Formats: sequence, C-alpha cells, structure tokens
Amino acid sequence: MIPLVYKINPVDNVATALSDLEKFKKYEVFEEGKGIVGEIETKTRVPKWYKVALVKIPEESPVLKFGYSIGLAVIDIEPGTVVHLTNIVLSEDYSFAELVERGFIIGRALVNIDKGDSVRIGKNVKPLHPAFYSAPYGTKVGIAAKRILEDELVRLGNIIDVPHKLGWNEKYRSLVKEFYKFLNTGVMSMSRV
Amino acid sequence: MDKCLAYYREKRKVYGVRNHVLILPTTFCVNNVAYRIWSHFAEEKWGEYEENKVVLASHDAGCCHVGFDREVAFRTFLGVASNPNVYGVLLVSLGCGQFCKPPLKPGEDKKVNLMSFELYDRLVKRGVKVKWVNVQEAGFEKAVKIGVKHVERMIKEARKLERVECPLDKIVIGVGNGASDPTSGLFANPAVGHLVDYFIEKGGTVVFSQSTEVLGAEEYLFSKVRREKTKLKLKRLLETLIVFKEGLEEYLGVSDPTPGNIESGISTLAEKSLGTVLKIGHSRKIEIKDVLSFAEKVPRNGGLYFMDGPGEDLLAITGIVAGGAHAVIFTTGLGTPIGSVVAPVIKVTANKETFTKLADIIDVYIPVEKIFEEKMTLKELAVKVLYDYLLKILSGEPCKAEKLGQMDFGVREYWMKL
Repeated sequence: MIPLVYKINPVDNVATALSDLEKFKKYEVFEEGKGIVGEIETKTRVPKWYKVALVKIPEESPVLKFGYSIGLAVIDIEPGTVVHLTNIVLSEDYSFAELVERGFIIGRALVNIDKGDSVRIGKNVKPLHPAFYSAPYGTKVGIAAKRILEDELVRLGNIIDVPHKLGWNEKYRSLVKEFYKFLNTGVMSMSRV
Repeated sequence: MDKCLAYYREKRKVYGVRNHVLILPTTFCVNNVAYRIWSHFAEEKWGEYEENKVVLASHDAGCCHVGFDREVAFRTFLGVASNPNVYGVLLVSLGCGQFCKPPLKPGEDKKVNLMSFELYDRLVKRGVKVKWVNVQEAGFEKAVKIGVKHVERMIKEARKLERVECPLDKIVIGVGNGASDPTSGLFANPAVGHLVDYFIEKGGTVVFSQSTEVLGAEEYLFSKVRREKTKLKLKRLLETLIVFKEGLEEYLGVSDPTPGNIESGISTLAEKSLGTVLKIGHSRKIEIKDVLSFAEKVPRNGGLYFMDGPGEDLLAITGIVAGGAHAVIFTTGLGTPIGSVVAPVIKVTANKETFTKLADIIDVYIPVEKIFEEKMTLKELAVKVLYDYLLKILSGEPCKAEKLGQMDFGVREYWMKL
C-alpha cells in the first residue's frame, strides 16, 4: 500500500500529501529510501499534492522542501496543518513603500476610486503581482491622491500614504481561519487569485 | 555497459547517434519546395532499426530579422545542420534571404569571413556534407528535381556507414520539462537529476535550458557554480530575466506560480522552480561549468552546462539540439508529443495515468510505487529505468517521438521582424 504522506529530504519540515487527507486522523510519514519515519496527526484537511507541516514551524522561519527553503512562515504553523499561500511567503525582506516609489504597479482599479478614499486589495484594486495574491482581502495599500478611474493602473502618481510594511501577519490569522473553513467544507475559493 | 553504438564522422571527429539527411530551407519562402523534396523520401528509412530518415526542418525564419535576431537564427540553422546526428544537409535556398549567399565558385576566394552569415561556407568549414539548390535560379519544379537528386545521392552514401562503439564521454544529452503536473516536481524531475549525476560520472556532458523556469531557485543554482566567470555570467542572465519577467507580469497581469499551479498545491515560485531545477542533478560535486547563449555549441568535454533559452518546450529543445546534443530527456506530467527534427527526445513521466493513456507518446514511466513498496530510492529507480533506456536509444532504437515522425524545429525571436 502506498503511504499518503511523502517526505522528500531528511531536513524537510513539510511533506507532500499523495492523496486527500482528512482532518484529525493519523497518517504514516514515508521518507524516500528510509521507509516509514513517523506519523503525523492532521489538524486540517490536506488536499492531494498539498504540503503538511511535520513539526512546528515558528513565525519567520524557513519552510523546507527538497532540502531547500521554499519560503518563510508568516505565522506559527502547527504540525499537521496544511502549508500553502496563506501561511508562507517567498520573502518578507522588502519595503513596500520603496517598491512603489521605484515604479512597482500595485494593480488595476476595479471601480472608480475617489480622491482621498483608501485603496484596498480585492475591494477596489485587483493586484497584478504574485506578491499580493496571498494578501488578505481588504489590505490597505494607500490613499488615492486623485480620482482613479476603473481599470486604471494603481501606482506611483495616483496613490499616497503607502505603508512601509503591509502588516499582513495579524490579518493572516483571520485569513488562515477563513482558508481552513474552505478546506473543511471542501470548497476552495481561488477567486482572488 | 558504458558505451553505446554510434556513427563516427571521421572528417569532423564526432560521433552521431543517428544518420539523418536533413533538408533545411534557408528562408520560409521555400518551405513548400523543401516539403516537396522531403515527400519523395517520406517512407525512406535505413539503419538496423530503421531509425535514420530524411528529415525536414521547416520554420518561419530566415528573412527580415533585425539585429540580434539575425545572429540567433543563423546560429540555430548552423547548429541544427551541424548536429552530429546529421549525415548531410540539403540547403534549399530562395536566393535573396538573409542566409542565401550561394556557395563559392571554383577559383573564387576560399577565405570565409567568420562574421558573415554565409550558411553554406560555414557548414563546409565545419566539415559538414552540404548540398545546395537555389529556387530563384531553377524554378520550383526544377529545384525539387535537383534537390531530390542530391538527397538520393546522400542517402546512398549514408547507408554505407556502420555503427561503431562510442564512449559516453563523446555524448551530449539535454534535459528539459514541459506540460508538468505535481508528479513532475516530486518524482520525474528529481529522478532525471539522478540520471544526470550518473551520466556525468560516466564522463558524459549534459546541458539544460529553460532559463525562466530557474527563477526562484537561484540559491540552488549558485550552489552548483564554482567558477567566478560562470557566476558572473549566470548573475547577469538571471538579473536580465527577472527584470524582464517582472515587467511582463506587472503589465500583463500574469503570475508565476500560475493560478493553476497554486490550485494544485504549489505555494511559492521557489517551490515551483526547485521542482523543475532538480532535473539537473543532486550531486554537490558536479558544477555548472559554463553559461551558454541560445543555440551556442556545447563543449563536448563532460560536465554540466546551462544554456539560456525560453521555458517553452519547442524552442528549449531546438536550442539544446542546435548546441549539438545527441538526445534530449524530457519530463512531462500531462504528456506532450514533442520531439526534435534531428535528435531523439525521450519523454519521461511519473504519472501512471498519463503513461497508460498516452502509451504511444510517453517513453518511460518511473514506477514510483516501487519507492514505497520495495523501498527503492529514487536514485536506484532512475538509474535502473532510465539509464539502460537511454543507452538503447543512443544505440539506435527509435524513441516514441521518432516513431511518430515528430520533426519539431523553431527559431527564437526577441524582436519583431521587419
């Protein structure tokens, strides 16, 4: 029988589900060339090919797959929980305001935004960069410096008061809850992606 | 068994694993003339496994290229025509394209200007057997007639050649991947990586391309580079790519990983790229020797080389083959029939469903269940399943793409044409 949780490299702290894993069940962890190396009790549903945390991954520490870092944890990830866009990012090592100043385009306006209104991801601007795809709905990215028409690019010139950091971590916690709800009902909403 | 059987080309001092006769139109205008010549020989096959054929490389390039593109197109033509698997090449020329300069007449100055785009003379200088037909001189039907005669003669000569033993250090293979799915990153690519390690240990040369797909795995890539010059070249290439790619993403609103990737469990670009880049090997002893331009000649001295090229399957394969690769190993998850005009392309999957469904397209299934049932390592599995198959293909057995008659060829363009 094929085990359902596959660990690729001995140093990895996540493993891949080879089949849909139910929540609150114990699964054996198989490591290549070694066989069963332990078991993991799931805390969430883990869809096929998704990753599950094998140990506790503290906030801001690397998530290891293939023996290499694939991103940083943005909240403490408990063992047995699914690891995906909602709890890891590629790198947090940047200043958002600086990126915008350098010409980084935030996204496209979904509706007309009046001068002085706050610009929020998903609410009135559709992000264009993958860095935002994991940003929680409603993350404030600045204030409209002038009237931004629908479909116009939101970028340096029509937006001010851009935060230095987006402070996702707090908001992540609520998003993670939301995400787990999706997982548990079996409906994965990718509409914001 | 660490040798294969190949054709030795004395004049060029290379081994070829196929003995094809290539028909290459020098511009797109004469694609149909070339096709008509080829169709005379569509059923003609020779060699122990009937693996050698007359092949046709039709394309949409050869005229109105601007600047750098002209050089790239020229290098691609030159590279494919002088691939070791080609016995001889018939250039079907229009007469006025960018690479249509006729061969020198007897008594004319024999000096070849290395900076010029004289396809015929450069091929002769490389020792390639090359014939020429000019459509603007002969007209359509007569050009076909002349072409057929040339090809007939070349086939006759090619049939005389026999395979001899060839050490693996004379062989270059390429690796690539396309139409991926989660099994590609988890099993197929790492498995090919183990094969690459093994093949290089045996003295072989391996080249990989698809530069856009390495972004995100820079740390891994740089861990495989020792030489300062290569480090610099790689850094410059990746920087250009990042600027280019981010610009495109921002302006076109595309993303990487794609929504499809994300839905299938891939979280970050690093994860996606590591999944594809592991096909270049796991051994920390093996370094990337050099970073080559698209379709640049790959040195045949053993080791690992990186060639700049797009992530797209066709051009990635064409670049590698124009660099002189004898064969390409190509991993896929969902399956693709792609091949190459002059080199066997071995398709590998770790997705059992795909393999069963597409038995006529996919060459090798990596039986991943053996990892779990028999506790085999992926390395043992990869070497066992892939290495012998590779040697068989190199020694003459046609791969699936060859059986299907795939003759894929394309020319990379950075700019628009005039």
